[in-house]
Amino acid sequence: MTWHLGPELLDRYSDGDLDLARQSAVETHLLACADCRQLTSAKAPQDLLTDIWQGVQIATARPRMPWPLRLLRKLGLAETDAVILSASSSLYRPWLLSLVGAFVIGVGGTMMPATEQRSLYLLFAPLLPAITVAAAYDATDPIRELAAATPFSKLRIALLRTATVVAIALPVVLLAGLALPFVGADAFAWLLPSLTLTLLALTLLTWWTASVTAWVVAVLWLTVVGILRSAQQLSAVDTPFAQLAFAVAALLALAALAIRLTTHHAPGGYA
Amino acid sequence: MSPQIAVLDGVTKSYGGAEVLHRTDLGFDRGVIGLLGPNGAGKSTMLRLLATAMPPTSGRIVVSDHVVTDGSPDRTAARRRLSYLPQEVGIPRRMTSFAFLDYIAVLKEWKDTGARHREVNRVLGLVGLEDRRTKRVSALSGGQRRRLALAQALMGDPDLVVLDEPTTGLDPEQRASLRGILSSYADRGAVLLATHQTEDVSALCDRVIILDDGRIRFDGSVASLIGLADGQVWIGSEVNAGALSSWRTGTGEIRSLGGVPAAGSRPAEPAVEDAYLLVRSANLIGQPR
Repeated sequence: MTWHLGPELLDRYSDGDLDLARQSAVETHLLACADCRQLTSAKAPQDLLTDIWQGVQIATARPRMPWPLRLLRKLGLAETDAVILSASSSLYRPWLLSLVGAFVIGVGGTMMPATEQRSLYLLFAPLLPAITVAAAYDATDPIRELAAATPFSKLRIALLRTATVVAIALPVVLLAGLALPFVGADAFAWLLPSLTLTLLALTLLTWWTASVTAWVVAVLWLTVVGILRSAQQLSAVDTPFAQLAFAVAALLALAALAIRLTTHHAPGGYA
Repeated sequence: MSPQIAVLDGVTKSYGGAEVLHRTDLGFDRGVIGLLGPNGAGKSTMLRLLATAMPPTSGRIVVSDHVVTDGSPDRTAARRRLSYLPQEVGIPRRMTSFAFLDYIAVLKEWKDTGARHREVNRVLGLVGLEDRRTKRVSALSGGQRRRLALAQALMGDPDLVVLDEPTTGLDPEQRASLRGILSSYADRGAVLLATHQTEDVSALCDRVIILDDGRIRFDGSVASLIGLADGQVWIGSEVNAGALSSWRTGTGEIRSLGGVPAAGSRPAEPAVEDAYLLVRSANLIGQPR
């Protein structure tokens, strides 16, 4: 080592007062000289160093958002909303559930007699969006009580999750229905029952946890399909009368949800 | 006189027809308030009500001048001024420590990303989990998970901090550290903590409330609580006749609480625990409960 940083050079370097060539020379020297590095560290503004270090810690700790959320962020989704969705497993689980559901309908349908194919489709298709809405709450159910005491709008959380999971589940089931030869007109007949079940799931989530809600909705729909099937009335589902009945049921479920919301109960707990 | 930070005004809570919190009137000022009582006494219920995590069956609750029982806007305004640590927090196991606190910070309406992340970093440091930022909750020990849950309650600058058994699972050093942190919050607001650790109450609290069977049995300063046990604690070679509790101390002598002093025994300095046990047993002869 032929030279070291003198006090004047050290001051000028720490003040950022050196030209680029000298600054480079000093930094090359600092890489090799522990004594001068120590002197320079002592000169460094501690507040700035703390801020930089904190920034590094945060940058490394901040979880990377899944790509669909990054895409939604680019499309204008607020960063805080993205954090809410990211915490609620509301993307991968509904996506997976929808794909598994479509797979079951497709493969199961081809393996079943033609008379049973319609039952299978009507059993699964309307249920999937409702189940995925309930699933979006499953991850955060354990902190329901903690979340209840925070000011963030529980209704906003419900709408965010519902909109996201339905946007994922709906096209998957619809495309599966259109692609399967045995579905035919039923590809659209399930939409109103599905809306009813989704609204029912949201209403039940104001009382119960996600898993209880999912079971209740599933058993209820299974019973309805079972009754229709045993009465050999499955084809009645896409009649105008049945569709009107489902529309009325959807309105009733919406009214029940509205009543729960106005009495300070939102999906996920006390609002 | 400044308004109280939190008020319970004729509040009751029933579950399925059974009243677990009988009519309660309480006000909370700045300072640390300890809530003692056996399991099932109604402590957690009272804390949940104050934290707005559930509605009362009847009565009025006020937090930071907002009547939380009046409606959603007031309740939301009150929630901006309080923080809450439930007795059990099942933090999603797949989340990292940082992600969990970030999520709660969003629920607490920290909208500015930079400020929010700095706050998350700050509270992680407060509870000594700065080196566990990127660890998933499933990789944390039970004590670390409890500290993580506690960290979310320390965010921001709340008027009312409601903590349900905050020292459970903490080692002595962490408990001492937590006492220091809570003291600093108590300078600015009310810290209400339910605990079974009477030493936390004597070390930290300005005021202590004993709750039993949904009713308040004692409400006063720690000194006045301990005062109830004056002359009730004895040390000697034998157990007091009719003692409420007794045990052999490290010196080999018997420490008795209540009862008729045994021959040769001498009075001893009472502790919060002694007074608590006496209040619970209604064994304070000549003392109002």
